[in-house]
Amino acid sequence: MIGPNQLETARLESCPQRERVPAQTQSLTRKWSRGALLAGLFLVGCNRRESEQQSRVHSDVVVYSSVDDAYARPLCERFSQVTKIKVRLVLDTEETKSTGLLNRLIAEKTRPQADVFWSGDPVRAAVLQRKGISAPYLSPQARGLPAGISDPQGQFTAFSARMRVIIFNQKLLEGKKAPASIFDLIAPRFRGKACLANPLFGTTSMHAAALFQVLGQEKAKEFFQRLTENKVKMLSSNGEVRRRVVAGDFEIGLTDSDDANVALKEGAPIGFVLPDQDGMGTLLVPNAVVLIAGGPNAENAKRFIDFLLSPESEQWLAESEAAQMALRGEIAPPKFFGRPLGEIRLMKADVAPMAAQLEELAQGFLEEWVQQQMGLAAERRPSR
Amino acid sequence: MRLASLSAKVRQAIDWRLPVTAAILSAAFLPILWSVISSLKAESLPEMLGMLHGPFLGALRRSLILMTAVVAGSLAVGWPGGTLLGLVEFPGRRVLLASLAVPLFTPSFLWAIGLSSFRPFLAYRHQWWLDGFPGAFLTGVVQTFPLVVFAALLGARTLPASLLEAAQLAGGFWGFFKASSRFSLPAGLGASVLGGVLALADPGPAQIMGYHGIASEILIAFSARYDAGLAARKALLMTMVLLPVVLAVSWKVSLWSEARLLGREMRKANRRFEGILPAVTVLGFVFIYVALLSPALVGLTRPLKGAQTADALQYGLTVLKQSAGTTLRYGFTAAVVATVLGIVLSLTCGRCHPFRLTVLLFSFLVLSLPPSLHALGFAGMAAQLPKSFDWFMRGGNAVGIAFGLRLSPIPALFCLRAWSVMPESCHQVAVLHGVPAFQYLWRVALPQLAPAMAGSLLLVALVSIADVSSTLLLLPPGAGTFTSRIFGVIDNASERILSGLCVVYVLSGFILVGFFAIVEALWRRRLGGSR
Amino acid sequence: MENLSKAYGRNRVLSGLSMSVQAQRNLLLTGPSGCGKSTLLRLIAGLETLDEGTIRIEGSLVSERGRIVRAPHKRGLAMVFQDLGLWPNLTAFQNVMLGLARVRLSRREKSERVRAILKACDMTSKADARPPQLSVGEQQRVALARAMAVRPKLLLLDEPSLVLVSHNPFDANSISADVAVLEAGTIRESGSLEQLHNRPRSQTLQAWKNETQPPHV
Repeated sequence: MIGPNQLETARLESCPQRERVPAQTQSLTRKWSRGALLAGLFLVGCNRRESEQQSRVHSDVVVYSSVDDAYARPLCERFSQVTKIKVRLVLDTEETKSTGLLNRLIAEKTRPQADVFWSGDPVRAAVLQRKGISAPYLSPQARGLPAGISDPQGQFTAFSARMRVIIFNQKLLEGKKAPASIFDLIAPRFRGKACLANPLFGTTSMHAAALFQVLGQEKAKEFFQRLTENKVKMLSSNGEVRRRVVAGDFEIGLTDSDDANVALKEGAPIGFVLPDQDGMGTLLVPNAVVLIAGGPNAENAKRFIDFLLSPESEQWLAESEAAQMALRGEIAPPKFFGRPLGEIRLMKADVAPMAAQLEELAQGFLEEWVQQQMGLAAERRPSR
Repeated sequence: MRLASLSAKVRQAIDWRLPVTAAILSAAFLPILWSVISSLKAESLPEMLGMLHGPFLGALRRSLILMTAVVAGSLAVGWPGGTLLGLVEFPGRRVLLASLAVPLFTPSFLWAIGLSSFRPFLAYRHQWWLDGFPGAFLTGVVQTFPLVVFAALLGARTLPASLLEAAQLAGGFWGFFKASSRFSLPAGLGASVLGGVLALADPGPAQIMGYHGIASEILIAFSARYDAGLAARKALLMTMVLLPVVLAVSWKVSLWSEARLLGREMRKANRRFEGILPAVTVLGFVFIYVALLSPALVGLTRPLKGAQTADALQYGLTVLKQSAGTTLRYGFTAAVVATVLGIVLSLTCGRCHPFRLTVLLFSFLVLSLPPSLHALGFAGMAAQLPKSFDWFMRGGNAVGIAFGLRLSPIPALFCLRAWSVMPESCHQVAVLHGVPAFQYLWRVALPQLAPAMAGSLLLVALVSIADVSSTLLLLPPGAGTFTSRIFGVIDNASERILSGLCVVYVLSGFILVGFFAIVEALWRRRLGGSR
Repeated sequence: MENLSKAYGRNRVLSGLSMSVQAQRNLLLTGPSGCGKSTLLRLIAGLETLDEGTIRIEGSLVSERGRIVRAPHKRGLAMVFQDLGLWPNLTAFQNVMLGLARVRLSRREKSERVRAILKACDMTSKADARPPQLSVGEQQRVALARAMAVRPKLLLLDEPSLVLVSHNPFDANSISADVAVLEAGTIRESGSLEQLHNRPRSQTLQAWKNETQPPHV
């Protein structure tokens, strides 16, 4: 039996030297925690001053864009150099499956922060028109751009374009016939070897809407059902289609020309075709620029739109790494496409009704199709 | 707890605590409420009930399965791992701890893309490991288990020496380990549920991996139909379906208080262990850790070979230079706002069970709803308010403030737990001696909460730096965080550029966390002790 | 104290308890665990409200049914808690010093008083140590010093046997002259130690009297 005093001594001995230190450190942590509190107050104070400074500056223009940083930023810098108007840019992409800038524009409708929305495809521009967020502006610089793609009232104006293409893995297709039509996706020879991106989002959704217009409801639905039957894999994005075809997981994939361009620049063993040159044609995906109604810097916004629609900008987009096809026939096409726009057969799809059409499809046929695909994706293992 | 005593406690607390708690909770919840209310119509309720069929329920079921799996998986790795790291001292422990923060500040979509890029290393027939459920699970676990490790570590270290020494006498290292594990379980479990909830709300990885859960359903409403109201209603419906489960868990957790376990013993146990068994267990943990993280990291860095590597890294450094200030500032603001709110919440709740329960429920609600719903609500409110509010709602710190509001439950939970570990008699002595409240708060309460505060500051900062989709909705035009810059080039940049960015981002984050770890270590050493 | 009742939910801890403590006397309150000793002390201290009854200190009402009439720190009492309730981040000196927050003295006078009381408790050498660095016995002495420093008219010691390292109530002679035995929520018997020692009625006291060996550790 040990007496209490002995117990105490034993405890003291088992308490090593270092245990005596945290006392001091604790007081330091205390100082830190107080410091953090004070810093918080300071920050709130600073914030006010800074935002007041910001609001005094008016020689700028706010641009929201769903175009890639790699070409949006240099073009904006060129604009700033020429006009001395500072461009404040916010960028979006469909690649990461985020909520997107369009929702921000809708949320900010009452008192917008943005002056211009530069969209990578005309459908989102049409959505803004439907939601009453865009304002009409017919730019003098739009002369020379083909009519018919843009909104006649100037709610959005289309310029330089990407195209929908089929990319294929050359190693896997060696000695075989390359695909030539999107109907190759449902051909037996590509059963389980083809992929496309989720048709509810981005350019793939535009492509789906175009198919419903050109083929008609019945045939388009049949096409989608046959995609399922042919075990075509639905992936999350066009970038993912590119990665998986490059990696050799799939032989062919439906994606955008810029994705094909990226893969080719990387030296990936892929080729691409503009589909249906003997049939309904390929889908043109032009950029579209929108003036935001009630934006804070309307005059600067118009100057920015003029700049973007100018032949110089189209030329830059054609010559730069963006490799976008100018809509003006006189500007040379990017080497990547191999031929001018006039020699490419295009799908005869009308952009204006697409926004409404997609809204309907997204809560009807396409939503169900995607849910069915995703359900299968979650429960099926590949059987190759 | 009987209802009678519950109501008595509520009556006691109604004086000043109720308005303060209500104010903070509603500030955190207001943006979401805004999204919901501004979208409500007369036919919304029947519409919501109409959604409760086939695909929605299927998606909900999948999300629940994913969440449960992530909770279980991260707990299985993080709980013993964290307990171990809290008990055993070994060379490189600090580096390991710092590296554990990497998954916390890396955006989830990067992990998903990294895993996807790892595919070529696997034979096709093994690729289902990265597809659908397994892929989404792996991404979820990678992002959640460090959280569990940190929570379990802190939990294991609050254990009093006598308990541990008794266990050690009885069963050697295993006895010691088992006793600590039991003690660190509540914290570990709490952290894993938190991680599971965050995984539930994040649509990115599940969508990229092709696992269609409820977050994907909500994303469709946002990005295919541009209908934030519909997204809000879907999210709300999800929460309502989950509510009974959550209520039960929150009830249980709100009653947890470890104070009784601690008693009067304040001495901490000696954590120096030597021998084969501790070494083997630590190596086992490191192995699992590396196995979990390396596929995504290898996938992300795979394109970095050949002559252009230097250019890619150079580009990454340029972006870092341009965006580091903004990134750190947003993270810091969010951390400070969230922590201040969280501390006040935990102080007002104290040990009052109804309050604890309310805070837990709200925490779940706020964290499980999609971050973008909160951000959009915030943006919508800013648009409705007059221009004079812009300095707050749209200024340079709007991102930080919105994140701080949404993430304030994290420090609140941390501090609530720290508070529950403190013996009640400490407060009662102060009452008896009439120590003024402010003096007590400043000299005793806040220092006691300091470790929890520091932990939640770091965590909130990391989580908000990692987020990109909400940042995008609130970013003042022209500003850019590092993650939003990665996000901006992800579509069309070459794989090599993307890799360069990721490597620079992960390394700089690691260096930053490591820097803090080293500063802390030096600082302790200067005071004469080593940890 | 008259007719005190207190219940936690359905668990009735005290029922109709009445007793008085004389000035200048020590009272040992004893009874089986869970009998409500701590609750009674907390009620006297004003940390909890009464369900029934009244408490008076020096004739003036301090607590009545459902209401704390006088705040705990205005009752002129101090208490050493069962788990001591030391503030873990403050040194022994600071613990005692902060306990004097409401005492109207200058800072210098306060520190002199703290030094004196720490000296009386034989804790001068450990004045700058924090509770985690102190042994349990030392912690107890700090808690006692903190309570004594305010010079309370009434000192409540929860589990004083632990503080004074003595476990048998009949050993507590040195501190206690009166004993009250609390059983089943009410005072079972009370009186001077001598009376009770000779004719114990409660089970608690009978059991202790029969113990041959004091229950030292």
